[in-house]
Amino acid sequence: MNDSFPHFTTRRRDFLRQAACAAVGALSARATIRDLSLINTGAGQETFTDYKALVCIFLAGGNDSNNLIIPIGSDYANYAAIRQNLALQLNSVLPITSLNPDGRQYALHPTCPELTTLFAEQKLAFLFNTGPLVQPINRSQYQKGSVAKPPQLFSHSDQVTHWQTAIPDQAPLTGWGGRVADLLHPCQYTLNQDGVPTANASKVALCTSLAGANTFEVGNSFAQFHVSTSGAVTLGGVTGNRLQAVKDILSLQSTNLQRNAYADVTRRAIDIGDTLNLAIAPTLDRTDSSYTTQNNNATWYWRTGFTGIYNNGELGGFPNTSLGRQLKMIARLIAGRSPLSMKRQIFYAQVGGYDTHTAQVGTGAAPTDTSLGSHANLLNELSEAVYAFQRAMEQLQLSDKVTSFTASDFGRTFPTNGQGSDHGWGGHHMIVGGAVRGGRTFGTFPTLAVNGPDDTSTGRWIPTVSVDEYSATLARWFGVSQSNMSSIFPNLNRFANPDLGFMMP
Amino acid sequence: MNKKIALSLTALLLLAIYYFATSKKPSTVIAGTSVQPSKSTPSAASARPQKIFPSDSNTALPSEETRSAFLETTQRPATLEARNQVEQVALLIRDFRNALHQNPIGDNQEITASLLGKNQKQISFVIPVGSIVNEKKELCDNWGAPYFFHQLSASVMEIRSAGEDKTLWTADDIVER
Repeated sequence: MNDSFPHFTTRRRDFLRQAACAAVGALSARATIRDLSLINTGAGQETFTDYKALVCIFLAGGNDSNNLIIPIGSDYANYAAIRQNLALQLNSVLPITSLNPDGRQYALHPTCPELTTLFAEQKLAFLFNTGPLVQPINRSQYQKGSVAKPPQLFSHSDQVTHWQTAIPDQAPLTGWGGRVADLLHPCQYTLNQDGVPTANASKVALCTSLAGANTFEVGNSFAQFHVSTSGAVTLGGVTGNRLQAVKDILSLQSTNLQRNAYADVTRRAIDIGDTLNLAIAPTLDRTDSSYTTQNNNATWYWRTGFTGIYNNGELGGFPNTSLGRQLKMIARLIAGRSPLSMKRQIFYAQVGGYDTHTAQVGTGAAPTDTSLGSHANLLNELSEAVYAFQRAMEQLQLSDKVTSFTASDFGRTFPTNGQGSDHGWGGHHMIVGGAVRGGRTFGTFPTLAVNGPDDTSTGRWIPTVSVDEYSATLARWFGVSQSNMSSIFPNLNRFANPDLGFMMP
Repeated sequence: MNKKIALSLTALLLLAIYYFATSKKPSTVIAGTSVQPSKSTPSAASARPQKIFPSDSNTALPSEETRSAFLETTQRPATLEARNQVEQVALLIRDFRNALHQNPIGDNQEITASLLGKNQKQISFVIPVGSIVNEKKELCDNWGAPYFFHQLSASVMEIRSAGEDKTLWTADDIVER
């Protein structure tokens, strides 16, 4: 009895939620003044002939970047004295040599040897003390309250929103990735002599999320496309004649406009899911969840240099971690860009667990072992996944076309709370890719002193680089023209460096 | 005519389904005691999450020792008092939010200062009786340990008392939102 029924293993609601919103060209009814502004200004953008992708890696919970990159040399004693049980042992950290020395020596967390390699290869750069700002602010202004601060500092959800919208002093409506997508999506088409797109060439949305709904990719005109680490969500168990029957039913015209619209969304969702899964099929490797031994035509290997991931002795593969699986799917989507006719793509990956108030370092029998604990595990996951992704881009010969960058709720307090660290403000971030001016550090490293010039009061760094400057530098590389920058980042002119210089022209 | 009969039958069928669905409400089992959910408007106290042991219909009840230990810990006068104080602090934060349309921000010291008047409207809120402000101007629980304020969003603040062991993030912490 059951066998005679089609098996909808994916709940219809989930399927529509995750896939239907990918509909390219499905302009929402909530057109606003900003829409009009972006559409008008978009005419000033050139049609893209090359390919570029931005990958946002969001470290949810607030990364303790004070232990991602640490000062060694004369600054280490100060670092160790204040961080106490959180302080990394000097003999365990991984020194790096910057091409633009700022008078300090730095080292990375001992669980990040892959990041050390990428830094040495000049494919990774660090940006110091970055965070949401309404306008530049110093310690004196912070304490007097004489300069506006982002609302609800130190609160998770608010700071995530500020990071992802880059407009902390306005009600959150769109993310900066979504606004860039609104502006640039039409630039993937060929324009006619009047500057109007002649065809809707790209087959999926410019913004793709591997981590569900996010603010970063919310635009006014184009919805973000959600995919899982296995690919697009499709109607499970419905194939062949059954699938054709579903499509035929969806093609029936009705006098009921709502029914027609529903059928249209469903049909489009099926089509987009199929198109995308077809596009990524060639890069199915033997570690994918959908790989079966019967599927012996899957001969793709990710040449990442890791050992022990492929079970047949082949070298390479992505680490089987949350971030590893997400970045692997992003690599597959990038590899499948041509069938999808994509010229620009923005991806969002997220990994949680960074809210390390407790158990940040080793506990129990090894309370001072900073190579243990939740933060060490998280940084190791980050290091391996980012490295694998960068190697995958090199394999696809797209290293200089794809830039990954980190973002996080906030940095964390510099002094220990005894078991971990608490919510801070500014933090250090990294940018990875062949187009990055790697092997360098950007921004100013904070003075590591409680109640020092960079501290609010308890070891929370006041950012000296704004999210606006960080994001604008990435957006400029991605193809947003100078004239359109203020449409995407309305507060950018309040800050000194609209281009921080960490991207090659 | 047939249409009317069909409609009547459908209505009867729906009534029957409703009757059977509502006549046997599942009961909530708390510490092995069957309790029918109250039909009265839940008070703030009854709306709070409670520690619930699983029903004995599916899983074995915890041992008598476990239940005793649980009750002994949670019913200890000092713990009950601390729980009451954490609830009062949560209400205080709620009052702050209602008055200023946002939560106080920062560490304990900054939040305590905000509660005591260092806020946009210079409103001084009354610290709950029994709560202590220590020499560092931090709001403390009745064991003298500073509360930990975990800022989740503009409208949600988690307040954590370290409990009797005065160590945060251990099993005896008392947490309220």
